[in-house]
Amino acid sequence: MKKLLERRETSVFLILAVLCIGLTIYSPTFFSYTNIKNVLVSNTALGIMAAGMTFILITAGIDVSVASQMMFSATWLALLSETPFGNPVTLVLAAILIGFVTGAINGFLISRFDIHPIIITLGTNSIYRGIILVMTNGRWLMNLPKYFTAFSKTVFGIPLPVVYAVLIFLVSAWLLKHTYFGRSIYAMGGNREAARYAGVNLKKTIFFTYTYTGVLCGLAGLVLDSILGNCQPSGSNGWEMNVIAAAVIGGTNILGGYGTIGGTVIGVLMMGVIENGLVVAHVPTYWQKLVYGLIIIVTVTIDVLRKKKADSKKQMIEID
Amino acid sequence: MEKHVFLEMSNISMTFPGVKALDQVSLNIREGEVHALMGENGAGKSTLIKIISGVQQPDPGAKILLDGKEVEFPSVHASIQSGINAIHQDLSLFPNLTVAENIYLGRSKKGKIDWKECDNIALEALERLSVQMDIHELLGNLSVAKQQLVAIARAISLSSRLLIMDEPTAALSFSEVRMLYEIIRKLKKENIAILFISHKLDEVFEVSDRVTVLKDGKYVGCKNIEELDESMLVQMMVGRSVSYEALNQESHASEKILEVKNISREGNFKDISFSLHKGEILAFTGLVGAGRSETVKALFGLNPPDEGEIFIHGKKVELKKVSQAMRHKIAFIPEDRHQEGLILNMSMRDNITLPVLSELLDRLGFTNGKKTESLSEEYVKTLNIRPGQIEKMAKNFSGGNQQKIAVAKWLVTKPDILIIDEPTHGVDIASKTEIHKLLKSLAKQGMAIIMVSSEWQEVFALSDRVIVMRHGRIVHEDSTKTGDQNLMMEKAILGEGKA
Repeated sequence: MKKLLERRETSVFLILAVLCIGLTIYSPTFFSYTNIKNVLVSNTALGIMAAGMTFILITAGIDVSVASQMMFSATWLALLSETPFGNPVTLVLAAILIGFVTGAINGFLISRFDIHPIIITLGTNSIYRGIILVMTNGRWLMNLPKYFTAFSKTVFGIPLPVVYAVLIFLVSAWLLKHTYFGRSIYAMGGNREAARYAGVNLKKTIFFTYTYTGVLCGLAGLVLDSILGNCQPSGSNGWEMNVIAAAVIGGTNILGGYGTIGGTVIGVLMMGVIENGLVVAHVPTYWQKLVYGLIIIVTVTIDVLRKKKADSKKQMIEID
Repeated sequence: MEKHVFLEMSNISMTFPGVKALDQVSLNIREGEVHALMGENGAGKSTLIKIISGVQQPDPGAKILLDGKEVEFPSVHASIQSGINAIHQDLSLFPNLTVAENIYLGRSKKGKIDWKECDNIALEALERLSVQMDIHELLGNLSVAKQQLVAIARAISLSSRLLIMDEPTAALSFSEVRMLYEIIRKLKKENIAILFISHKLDEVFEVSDRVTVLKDGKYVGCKNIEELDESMLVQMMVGRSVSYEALNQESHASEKILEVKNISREGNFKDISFSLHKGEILAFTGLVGAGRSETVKALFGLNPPDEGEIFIHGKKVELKKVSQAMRHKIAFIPEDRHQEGLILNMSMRDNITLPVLSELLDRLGFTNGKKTESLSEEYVKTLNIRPGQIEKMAKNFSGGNQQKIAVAKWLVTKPDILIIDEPTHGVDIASKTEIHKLLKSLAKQGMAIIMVSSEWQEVFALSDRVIVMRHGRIVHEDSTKTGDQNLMMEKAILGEGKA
């Protein structure tokens, strides 16, 4: 119990709970089925990418190309659906394959040349985005076929995108927690040299981490297209910052070594609820960015201060 | 009966850019023996064990025989598979993982982790050490000594034939050191060989069967411990016998410059009082974690005391900030010169003149090239920094010369009091002697010097007076000319002497 209270996730979860209760009191529409469904569905793509981002941040890396990777996949999938080859099976396979390629390119460049990931992904961010703009001339791909939008149907009252996201969270949490790959990620983020000394293959681990994130971005592209019913190649600009913010609000250490999928999910919900709450509370949307920024700084500052206090206690000498 | 040699290494060389860290070294290990690897700082001991444990690869031409068969250790994993594992200094653990995981990691290479196996291996390894702790606790929440025990448990569980330890007792308290000796004897009975690096002579004589000595990257010799006594061993390491010559002959009657009265800081030091005179070298010694660095940092405004008083030239002063300390003409050279003392990507000239840059401006407020140049060159000459190219980046100098640049950087402020933490840590023997000479001549010119040192030889060769600390308190103070070295060591370790 005490350990649960000490965790960063718990405090963010409590803030989220208080926020939800407050919003419900302020405006009962917040807690309506339709509104909750809206909040969840519109944040699935963000959540799926944030799961991958959690892996990367734990290794002490970063990926600012996630939104571009998602749009890269979304655009190709929309184009595919316009051809005779488009059907549900090819869409899923293509989403995975495209994500695998974009992620693997990041992973290969970062691990092979040992260049800081922010530089590589800044580069590929621009390249992936550039390719789809050139390909489509920036044209919107409208009216995606029925079998495509069917991916985001609601079955027995549960929207399918939420089901996909939950499945991905479960698989990701399991990978992080119970596999050699997952534990190597933590080891590497905690103490890179020690991980090397313990026989962890750093290059391989980095490669897989970015590739896995790429695959999730590919799937996020599929989900996004099917929810929107169209594809705007220049869309979701700047989402990478929201993805990073969600993971960080959920307790992932940007310097590596710590983070959980559970925390990231709470972080995603927090971002979603705040966005929705501002609408429900009739705050002009222009305030949104400002509030996001404040939330990020406040939650992370509290965490850092708490850690500093704990560390300074640890370094003390026993005086007898 | 002589046990059989199972690991034989010869012609081991290792070249780093500009430095030959190892030069045709050889080493052989017998089954179930305790083998000490000795040598001064920079002799190449750590490099050698990194080669055995697969962290670094030797230059071509190296020959390693395991059970008579020629092998290579291209990776850490290859060494582990041959039953060899090492505990490196400060490098082997993960603060963000649990105790159990720290012990287990590096075993399975893929797929799902078997948590039951993980717990069992951890429990078994700790059992062998007769240590009890919560294996699901995060390692980062443990004390340094407990973390060290986890590192040992981890290495033991991975080493079926040879366990390598790089200064295993450096962070341990006295009783934990005793426990480690017990563990070593136990492993020996299980026919596991142990290779360890140590600077503590008594330790080597207490537990080891054989000693291999390296000096400046070269093999000096390998002897059975019975063939040696302390002075012979020191002679092998240093290449000459070390004399404890007292170097500062001036009397203590000179002017008192600093007086510290009953300063305390929670969790750092308690009830510290001492005084410092002009032209005197005062040494703070004791075990790692005794609070020495914390105490001297208090004088430089880095660790302000909660209570107590500090007087400089008889006047009460506040030292809460570095700028205040600098105003009172105090300089501090930290132990970790790479991290805290030098800006490695700046030239030697920029490093040296940084603390006084505001005094070297011309009328328009720009830095004056001529002034900085002549000032840097003056200190290059006095400190004999080589090579004397002031535009060369600090990172391109050898450890000893970097040390001198760090010293120069603070000497330009012309301090009255110089505080230096571990003046010769990580420095080769030649530079060590030069730094010693330098400190002595500075004292002769009237500077008051406080140094923190863990090396008894250094303390006795250099200082006039010594203060021994333990658990954040001063337990002993004596003159190095008349004081009893054994008594001081006992005080440092046990808190009380036999005498």
